[in-house]
Amino acid sequence: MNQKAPFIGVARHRMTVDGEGITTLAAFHACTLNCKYCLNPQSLRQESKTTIYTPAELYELVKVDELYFLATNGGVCFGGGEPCLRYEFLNEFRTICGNSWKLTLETALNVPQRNVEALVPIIDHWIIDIKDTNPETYQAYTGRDNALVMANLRFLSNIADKVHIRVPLIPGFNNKDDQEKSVELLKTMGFTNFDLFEYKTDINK
Amino acid sequence: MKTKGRIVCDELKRIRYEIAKANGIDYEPTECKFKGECQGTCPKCEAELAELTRKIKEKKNAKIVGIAPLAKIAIAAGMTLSAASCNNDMEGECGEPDFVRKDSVEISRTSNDFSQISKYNLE
Repeated sequence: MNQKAPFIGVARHRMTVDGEGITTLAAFHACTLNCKYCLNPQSLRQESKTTIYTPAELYELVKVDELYFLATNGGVCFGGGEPCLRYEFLNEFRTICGNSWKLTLETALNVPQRNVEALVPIIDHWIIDIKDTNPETYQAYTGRDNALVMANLRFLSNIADKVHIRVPLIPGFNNKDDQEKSVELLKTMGFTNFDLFEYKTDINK
Repeated sequence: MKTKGRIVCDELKRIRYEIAKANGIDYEPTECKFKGECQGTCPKCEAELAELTRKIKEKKNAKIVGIAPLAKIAIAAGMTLSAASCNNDMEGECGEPDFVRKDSVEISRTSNDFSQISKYNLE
């Protein structure tokens, strides 16, 4: 208990972008990946300005919107950075906030499986950006191997109804055929909720 | 044309109204006279929310859960304002919202950061 974590920001009143309902996005510092088009590079830099919260402090901050959360079936979405790195923080936060708020994760899932196992009982909705299922493409774009991602996806296939998978077209790294191959593979794993889109970057503005 | 912040503000007002109505609480959102760029909330809206929260906590058997689903408006960051400004009653006529989709969830792209609240003017 008494977990502390650095956050790069906490943003209120988000609608439709983090799942159902009104949500507050709490973005952790630190990530396991180094994506070329990362929108929050401040989540990677050690020198970035962050705010440290305990779960109780974050709860006190965000509960101002509890009426909105309850009325719209919303809650708190944890992103970052990589929220799965902070599974102990999230477990403590769930204990404090109770079961009436929806907790969503926006994750790349490139973490040890024990982190994911610890989060399954407390997370209502998983939004997973898999980048690309091809290991070479993934390595080129993120600088990391995707073996953990695929293993974690297999683990989460048991709760596929809670999972929404983002399958992006990544300019300069994959194409529509690659995107379709990823979707087909994920379907064989039991997933049915996909979000196909193209990253907007300086290349394709 | 409404800004994204104004659309968020209007939606939050609607939700407060529906919560109050479902619980028999008198609540009429006050007219907003703020002339600057609305960020989705302001001290006046925050005060209305705090007052409604207080009244709800005083009530026994208050009805809150699931009474005010989001209106069918998409307020994604980067969405074109013309699509975002569709009237709630025009569901189906708005077409697909034009999301600007990027890697990660951009924290700076969102309004209503807690640190911004103190910067708003009360009018």
